[in-house]
Amino acid sequence: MISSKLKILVVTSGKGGVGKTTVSTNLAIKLADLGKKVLLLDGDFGLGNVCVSMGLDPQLGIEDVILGNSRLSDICLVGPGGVKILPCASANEDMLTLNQERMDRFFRELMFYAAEEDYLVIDTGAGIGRGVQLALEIAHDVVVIATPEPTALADAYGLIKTCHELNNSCNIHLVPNRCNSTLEAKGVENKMKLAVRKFLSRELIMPSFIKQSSEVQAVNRSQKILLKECPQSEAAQSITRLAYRLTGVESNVGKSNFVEKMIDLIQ
Amino acid sequence: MQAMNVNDVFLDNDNCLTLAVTSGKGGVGKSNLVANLALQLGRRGKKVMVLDADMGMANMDVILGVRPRYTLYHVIEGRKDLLQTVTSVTQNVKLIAGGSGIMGLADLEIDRRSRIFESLKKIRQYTDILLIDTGAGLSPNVLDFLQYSHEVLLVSTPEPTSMADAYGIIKAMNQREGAYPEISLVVNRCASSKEAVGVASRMKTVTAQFLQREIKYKGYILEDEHVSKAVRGQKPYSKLYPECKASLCLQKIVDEYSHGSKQIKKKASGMNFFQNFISFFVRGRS
Repeated sequence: MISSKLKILVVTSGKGGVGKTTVSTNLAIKLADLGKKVLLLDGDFGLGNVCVSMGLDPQLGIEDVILGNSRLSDICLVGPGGVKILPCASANEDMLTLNQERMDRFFRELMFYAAEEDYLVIDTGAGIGRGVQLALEIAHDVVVIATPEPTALADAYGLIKTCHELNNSCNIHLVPNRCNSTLEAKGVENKMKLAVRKFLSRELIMPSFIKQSSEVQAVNRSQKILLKECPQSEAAQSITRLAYRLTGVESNVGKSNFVEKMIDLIQ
Repeated sequence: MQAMNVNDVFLDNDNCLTLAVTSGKGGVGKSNLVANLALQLGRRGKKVMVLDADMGMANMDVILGVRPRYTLYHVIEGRKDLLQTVTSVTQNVKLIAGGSGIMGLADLEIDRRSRIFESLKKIRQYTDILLIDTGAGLSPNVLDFLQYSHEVLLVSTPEPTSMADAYGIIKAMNQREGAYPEISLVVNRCASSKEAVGVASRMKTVTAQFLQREIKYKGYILEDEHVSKAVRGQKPYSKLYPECKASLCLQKIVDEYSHGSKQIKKKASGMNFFQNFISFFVRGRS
């Protein structure tokens, strides 16, 4: 059912507010910049805000497909960089109590719709509810965002545990976000890798980490795109690097860094 | 579902203000607000129970720096009584911890949720203020806890996505039948009191216009690096840095609840609470 070309990339975190939507929207745009055909799904069925974050105001959303008579092609809009977006902005309780059959049907339809794309990027909501579980089940690559706070780490571990139980073949990538230093990112990586290896016997990949950048908050508040507004910021560079790593294309960003070269070799 | 005498619940709950703290969007400072609000209300002599209702991704224990032996998970599984899971944080502040990383908890079935509500009856008898941390997002879990409460305290930052999600919560509550709790707002991580007032007035206007609902503005907390420092050290900021900007802002919000709780209680109990349970049961059976 899933075409061989399509790669499903799920951006998730357990804890909310750690930068999921910022990473998934910018990652999708960067992948499109690299010449890939990208479909971005707002997978937060309760309170999606991919479109709010980009300053778009769609008339229809996934809720109209699942609860109404719209088709995915009706709701799909073309966003920055040519990324196709499936928006969701429901705040509709009916969307939260969908039965398994309806959910499955939606995901089936989604697979057919996405079949011609190179990438399906799914921005999930916080937590490990059913919507998140379904996305994890179909993922090829799961990108787990975690900030260095203990609460974010605890939730990221909970998420990875859930992912491990649902999908034993996907790659799990850990992307530490809002790090003050490389050292701090390494600390996050070591702690998580150790826990995941010890308790789940699974290996984590750290393709990139994202440094704290003052630009991100300002860009988010003005509903603009980080990669477009501040392409030279540390955060934008990190997301660019993440996109290169995920597509397997060698990047020039940070190539002089020995540690990162080592990571390349190990992977 | 277990049979339950609704009148018992009604009578039991006269003296306990139930405040659900929620936000829609995650990472806006909800759990941190609950933890610090609880500690400061406790310092002022209120008996406070914190319920970490973030099923699946609970971490109030991490913020408060305690290690509970049992959590809501054990209650829902029927292995422990809710009273047995209570962890002492300070003399006046107690915690009922949630479970983390447990898929079964993330989307609870309604009769399992009802087991928690049933057990809360006993707890309420010994408590002045029950603070519920709902967790991020919008789910039947979250909405049930909101409807169960006297007052819903929304936390929003000045970011557009945060405001949109906070609005989404009110919209979803509006679609439900039955009782409707009071709604109040705290603006978190703002640059100035002026910015906070701007956020509050926008939220108020939009909510009044499109949902015909009133929001009470309860205060703001300034952006303060002490907060994230404290979180990383697993200590509550109001204890570690009692004089920092965020702590001073928090005290004003604490004032609202340590002085004004009786008033709210009077308005919110009675038919409101009774209806909450009626609607809860009606929905549970359908």
